[in-house]
Amino acid sequence: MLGKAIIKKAIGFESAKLSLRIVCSSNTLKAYQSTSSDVDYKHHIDHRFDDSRMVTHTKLQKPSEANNEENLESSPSQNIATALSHAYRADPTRGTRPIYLDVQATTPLDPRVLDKMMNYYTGLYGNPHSNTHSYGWETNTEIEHAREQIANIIGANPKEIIFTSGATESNNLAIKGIAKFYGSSSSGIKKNHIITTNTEHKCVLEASKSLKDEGFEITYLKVDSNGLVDLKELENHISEKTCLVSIMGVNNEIGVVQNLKAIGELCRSKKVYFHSDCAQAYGKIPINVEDMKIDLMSISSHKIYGPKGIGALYVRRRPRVRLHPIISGGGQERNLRSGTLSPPLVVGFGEAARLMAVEREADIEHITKLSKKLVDSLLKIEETSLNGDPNHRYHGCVNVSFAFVEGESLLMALRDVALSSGSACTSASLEPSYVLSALGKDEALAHSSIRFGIGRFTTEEEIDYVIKAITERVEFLREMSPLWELHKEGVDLNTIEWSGH
Amino acid sequence: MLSLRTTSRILLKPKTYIPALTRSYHAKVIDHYTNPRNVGSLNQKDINVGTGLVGAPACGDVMKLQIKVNEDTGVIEDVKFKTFGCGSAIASSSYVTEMVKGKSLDDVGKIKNTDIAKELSLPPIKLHCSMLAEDAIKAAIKDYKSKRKATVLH
Amino acid sequence: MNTAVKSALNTSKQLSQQSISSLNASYMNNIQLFTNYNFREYFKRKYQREFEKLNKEFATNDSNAINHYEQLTEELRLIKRQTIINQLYKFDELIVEQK
Repeated sequence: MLGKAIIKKAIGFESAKLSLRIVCSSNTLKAYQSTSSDVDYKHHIDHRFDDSRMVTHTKLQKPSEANNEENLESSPSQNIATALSHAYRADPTRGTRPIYLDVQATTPLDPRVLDKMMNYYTGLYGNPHSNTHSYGWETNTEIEHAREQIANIIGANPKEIIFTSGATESNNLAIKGIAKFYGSSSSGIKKNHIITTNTEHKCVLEASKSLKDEGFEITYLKVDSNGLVDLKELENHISEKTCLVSIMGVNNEIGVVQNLKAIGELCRSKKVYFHSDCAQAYGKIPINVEDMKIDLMSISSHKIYGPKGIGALYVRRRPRVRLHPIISGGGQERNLRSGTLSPPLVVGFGEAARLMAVEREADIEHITKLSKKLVDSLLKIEETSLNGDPNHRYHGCVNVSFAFVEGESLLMALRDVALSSGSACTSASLEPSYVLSALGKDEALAHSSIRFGIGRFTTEEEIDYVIKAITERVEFLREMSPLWELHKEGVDLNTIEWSGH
Repeated sequence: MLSLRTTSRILLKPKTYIPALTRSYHAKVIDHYTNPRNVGSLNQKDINVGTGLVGAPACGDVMKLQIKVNEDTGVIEDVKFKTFGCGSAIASSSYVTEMVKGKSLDDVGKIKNTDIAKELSLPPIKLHCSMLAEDAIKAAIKDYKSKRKATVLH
Repeated sequence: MNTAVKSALNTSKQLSQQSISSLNASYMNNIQLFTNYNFREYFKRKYQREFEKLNKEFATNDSNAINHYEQLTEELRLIKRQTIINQLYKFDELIVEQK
């Protein structure tokens, strides 16, 4: 009797559990396909977070312009929709933030990278160099794991990766470190010649320039009109006094890819160290340090959808590259770069590198497709030219010149697209880009060049908007330009005597 | 780590960096720029049309200003401009066309670049745009007068 | 909770078309909650590709299918975490977006 009751109860309990399980699973199923009123899928808003959400409204104006701001809406002429007014007039049905096409300057942080980093901003806050407790051990393990992920992309050994605060510091460490080693009296032969190109990043040029005061000779190789380095000329310039050749992988302004393998072979045969600033190239073009015989390589995290403030320098161990550190301290990073490593930044960097490998095929396909569409449509406009070699290029960086349109007015016309005319470092000083001048472009053409950066997160819709905007606005500006009118009439502008100031 | 990067950035900045050379535009400049008045060309060969072409592409500013003068009254009937230059240059020339329409040649000859600069609130770095606009209108008047003189002599 | 659902749905160690499509649906619903336009469009593209691959693997009875499925269920948790963070910080919409 009792047994039956127990069994009944047991069965009842089991069936209840089963039904509860079914109820639970169907509830969770419902949760996945939530139709609750809290979530508004159409407007991408989850109302459950309304009481904790922070809303930031962004301003289109530069801080210096904010003082001059008057209400543009009140002006009567604003009612007329000219091609350019779209750049300024706020369409109430559409958003206001510009389209981001400046990935060579920096990239947005991939959410999957942020996910990995959050651990280190919340609970895992230990100093990785504290080797007496688990807080240190756990962060140290993760940092070493990140080092391995970064090394795998270029076929290097994890021990050869030195973390720095960014590609600028890596470039400085490479150039000044080698210079310090060879310039000091402790080494046997004194080598004081460094070769670089005149299209390098500003930090490489400045670092080399600063070495001139210490008795170094710098050769700035000229590039041809397509931006490529001439190997014969490089070979001619290498002497027994040369200690370093520094040539970047992918140019940040025109997107030209140098022949790293050939340069590496040449430098190895002449026993000269080869440094390459691969901030823009890492993860985007296939790089193998063994294959290409690269001895030093600068890497930047915020160009590969990672966090800002961290970078790395690859320093070859076999055959050993002798470097002097430029930062002294506790001897971290093989005594080449002392200082506490930041676990969130390093782990974010590692995850970003891992994702570059995982997503590479899909990214290259997507970026190439968008880039081809953009370039084809832009070159359809009259008197436009693509800067840089059309074959040896990275498709994510497109630099186009628009003749007979003044550069500043063109940028002003494209206010609703975040673009750059040349590199971010030099854009503040309204000088034409030195890279374009090095290609032999005349100053006017260099002034009216625009650099478009296409990345993983750029969509086809954004590219379509940009193509339409540029076609309309360039046409508008050319209608306003007397030089265009003269060109159309067949007058050669060089024959006119300008009154000029 | 951060402080070294910022200090090295400051030390490595090119010597030619001048903070004042940033672009800042007044609302009126933007207005003239997005909706320029009187853009176009007049028939250069017409006896009543004076053309002023000033500036140089190397400097980054070229203005072409054309005025059509009524030969009986000496009043400017129509004016058209075309400019190759920055936003302030376009705004200056557009504003000048507004200023001169319907005025007599003598009045127009008195236009000063300071009037243009004041109206558009041009920053000091862009004052040369207003000077160029003044030069353009003076050149147009000169061209018209020389054409008239040539026909009178005939 | 996740493992309970998994075990409730797949009582045998076999995938079913229904479980794949329900995972796909939950991905698409969650990705809609990214306030950032670029992330939203990117993840839609990426996971469309992933599910095409998974469906192909399932159709050809590839042994990788079950691992792929489990990897995707784990990545869904990541997407949910990141949409929550995205929801917490809202910015103005892009020019190409409808308000």
